Amino acid sequence: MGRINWRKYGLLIFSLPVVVILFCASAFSSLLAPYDPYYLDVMYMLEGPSSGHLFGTDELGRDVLSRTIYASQISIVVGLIAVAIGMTGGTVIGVTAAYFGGLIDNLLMRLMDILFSFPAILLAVILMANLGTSILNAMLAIGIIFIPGFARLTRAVTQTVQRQQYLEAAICIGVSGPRLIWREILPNVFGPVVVEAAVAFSYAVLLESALSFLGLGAQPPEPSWGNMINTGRGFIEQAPWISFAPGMALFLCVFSFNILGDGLRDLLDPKLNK
Amino acid sequence: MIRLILIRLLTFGPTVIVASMVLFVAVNVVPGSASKAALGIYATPQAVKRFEHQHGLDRPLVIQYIEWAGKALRGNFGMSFQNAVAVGPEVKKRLPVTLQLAGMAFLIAVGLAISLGALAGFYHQRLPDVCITTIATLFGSVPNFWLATLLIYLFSLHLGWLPTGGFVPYSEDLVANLRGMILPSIALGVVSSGLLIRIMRTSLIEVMSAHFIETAQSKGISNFKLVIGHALRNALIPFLTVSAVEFGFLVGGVVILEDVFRIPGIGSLVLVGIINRDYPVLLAAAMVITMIVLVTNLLVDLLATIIDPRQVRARN
Amino acid sequence: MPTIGPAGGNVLEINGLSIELTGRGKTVGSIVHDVSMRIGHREIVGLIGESGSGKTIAAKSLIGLLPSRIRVTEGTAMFRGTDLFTLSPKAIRKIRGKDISVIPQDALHALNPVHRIGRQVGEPLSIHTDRSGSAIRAMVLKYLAKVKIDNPRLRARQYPHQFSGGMQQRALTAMALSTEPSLIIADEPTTALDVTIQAQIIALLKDLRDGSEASFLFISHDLGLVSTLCDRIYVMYAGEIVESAQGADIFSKPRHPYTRALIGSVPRLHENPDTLQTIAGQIASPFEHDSGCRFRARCSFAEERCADPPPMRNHGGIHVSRCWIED
Repeated sequence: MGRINWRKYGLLIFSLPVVVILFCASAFSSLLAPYDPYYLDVMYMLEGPSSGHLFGTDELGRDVLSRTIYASQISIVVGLIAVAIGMTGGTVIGVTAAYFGGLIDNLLMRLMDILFSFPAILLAVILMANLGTSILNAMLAIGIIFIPGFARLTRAVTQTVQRQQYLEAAICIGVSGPRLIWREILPNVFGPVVVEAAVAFSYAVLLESALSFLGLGAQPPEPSWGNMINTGRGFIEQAPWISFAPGMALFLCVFSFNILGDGLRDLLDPKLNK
Repeated sequence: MIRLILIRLLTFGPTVIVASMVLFVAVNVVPGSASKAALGIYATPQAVKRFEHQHGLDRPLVIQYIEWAGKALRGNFGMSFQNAVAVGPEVKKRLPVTLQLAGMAFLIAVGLAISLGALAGFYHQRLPDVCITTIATLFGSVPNFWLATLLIYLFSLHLGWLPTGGFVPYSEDLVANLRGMILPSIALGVVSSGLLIRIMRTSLIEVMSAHFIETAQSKGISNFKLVIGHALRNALIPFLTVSAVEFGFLVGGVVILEDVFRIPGIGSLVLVGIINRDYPVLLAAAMVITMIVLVTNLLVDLLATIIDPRQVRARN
Repeated sequence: MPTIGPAGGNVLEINGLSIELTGRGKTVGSIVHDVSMRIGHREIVGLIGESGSGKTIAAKSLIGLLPSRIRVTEGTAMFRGTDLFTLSPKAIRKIRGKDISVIPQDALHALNPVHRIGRQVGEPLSIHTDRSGSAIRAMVLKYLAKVKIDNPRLRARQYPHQFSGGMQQRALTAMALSTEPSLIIADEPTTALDVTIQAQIIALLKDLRDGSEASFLFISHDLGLVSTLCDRIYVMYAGEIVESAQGADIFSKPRHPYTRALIGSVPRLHENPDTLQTIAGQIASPFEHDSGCRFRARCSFAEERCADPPPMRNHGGIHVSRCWIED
């Protein structure tokens, strides 16, 4: 215990249990939540935190804590899928651009740069308006928004790899095409992409909550942190606790994954090219 | 240097055009919903068809785009589907509001970044650094709409110092204007400062290890003058470019917070366009927001080119 | 350890200086060990050693610019009646740049790229004196002229990248002179320059010494370079002074095996260029030193008794060397 450099890794160590709790909360919601998130207890509407309801109840008598726990499902799932979409699409585009170089590289990257300069929320909001407000569309929209970021990263890493000698060596012995990409390029792209994925995940959770907050994501009565904060806003004077628990959960989730991303970056540092 | 500036200006045009195309496609991806929103869900297919024809929505997308772009360049953003009012003037009215909010928020973010980031960088790996870095990560992780809710609860409802929202033009009443803008600016600025503080810190740490810093120290300079006079100026240059990117995120946040604080800016106009499926409004507002980001990036690029006197070599 | 150097009237007197690398509170390596030196009024004293000999660290310790985790563990440095090592950081800062100034190495990177030369040369004056801006500007021009920079008025307004390497070095020299210090530490001022420019800078320093009251501590790894410049020379190896003598004596009568090897490895025109003598082995790291002679691993004359700390032998006058071998 004494050999751990707390200054450097203290936060990272703190964030790991939080991450675990979050995943557990979403996977085992029914086990952890004290109440059914849809159960309306008309006797206890807008009640403050008490021994029966740790974080109080909302305007329809539902237990805030239970709803917060169940809401983690949406955030985690949307986060994972959106990052998966972004990662896959981005890697394909980025590696392709760097592999072929020249005009293809130029065109693809210009397009990525322009897409990247759009404020993410703007695109998200517009896409959701068009695709329709559902969780599935949220995953799709956010995933699409992440593609340019991953594309730029993978392209940069691929270019670095291309300059390394072991790639020349592999080409010399006849490795080329898909095999080259698969065996030589992709393994090196993996590290930086994982770091980026952790940070992207937290941003995906944030975006999904923002969309729900605006009424463009998960629709009530389905609980999501975003729409709970929004509802809570309407009752902020009489029942401030409605916004508090989901907001805190959201904050801790984003914070932990940001720390995780930082920690991963530090750990993989010698192998990353800055 | 003139050459560099010209190149940057020349690439700006095509960038704007492509951006507008992307937005146009994004908005018009699903046909039909505009008419339903305007006419109501009970609209007959004939009414829908008439509406679409009236607004030219049944023509090929490319043609629609060219017509829209042409008009937009002259400042004509068409008429709202909802109430047949010209969009242009509304945009014009709301633009300064958003600019004020974004500007104030950005100032807060940059102010926090330079002061806290420089402190953290100077006391690298000692207590102030560890604290500030943690705080910076916390700041960057807070959802801005939740922070806004907390701020409203604390400062408006609990303490009663500030209004919960609304906007008063500064030409009318400067104090009321500022009182209305302060909470949203803080909510936006604090969140953006998270990343910026850390960028400033890294930049300063790098500059502090430069040889000329030791030379300055050997002259017996005080720590304060060392950071302010020598280190900061060099550290600001890479900081500027990143802050331009962060500005993009900040402007995105404006879309949400203008809604939360009931501020009549371009951000809330985007949401109005979305809720009403009012495409001309949505397109115009989205385009303006994107332009704000693109123009700011351009300006910062140009500024960075000018500030660095190593570019002066090209002038001589 | 007996102090070495001329008697009386010393600007700087270092006694028994030891500097160590610390890790988690305890000593991890020895960077400088038991160094004693004297610098007299208007003397140019050379401190010669290869990279890693500790010469730069020893000099930095005088003005309180040691990196973190490197500390002075023993010794005194008497400058104008005060022990520099007992001064608070604030007090050292008053001396730094004013009474003791530094000409740094690697001139291009020693200058702030976004400040004009004039401002940087005048900075010590603006920090340590109350003179007005115009008075400082006038002094800057005067010193730029003194270091033979043409057209000082134009040059002062330029940026470092617009100066050649030699001119940058001269500008830094002007900067060090401007406050009329008692001691100027020249830290390898010619290392990054080519040979012809090196000669110019050496010539300049000679002129300046004649025209000023300052003493110089000239740090270098190039023994040949300082042969004509320095009044006295200290040779340093692995953190210790191994030999000290008048400038000429170091060359004509080197005593310590290391000094001899250094002189032997300077290529001379009339010798066979194919036989370049080098000193076998590498300097030991600060973590590996014991109490014996630190050079014995590479010394061709090493004996068993070299494992014990060698004494300082006197060879006549001020010439001393740290070695067991009588010669």
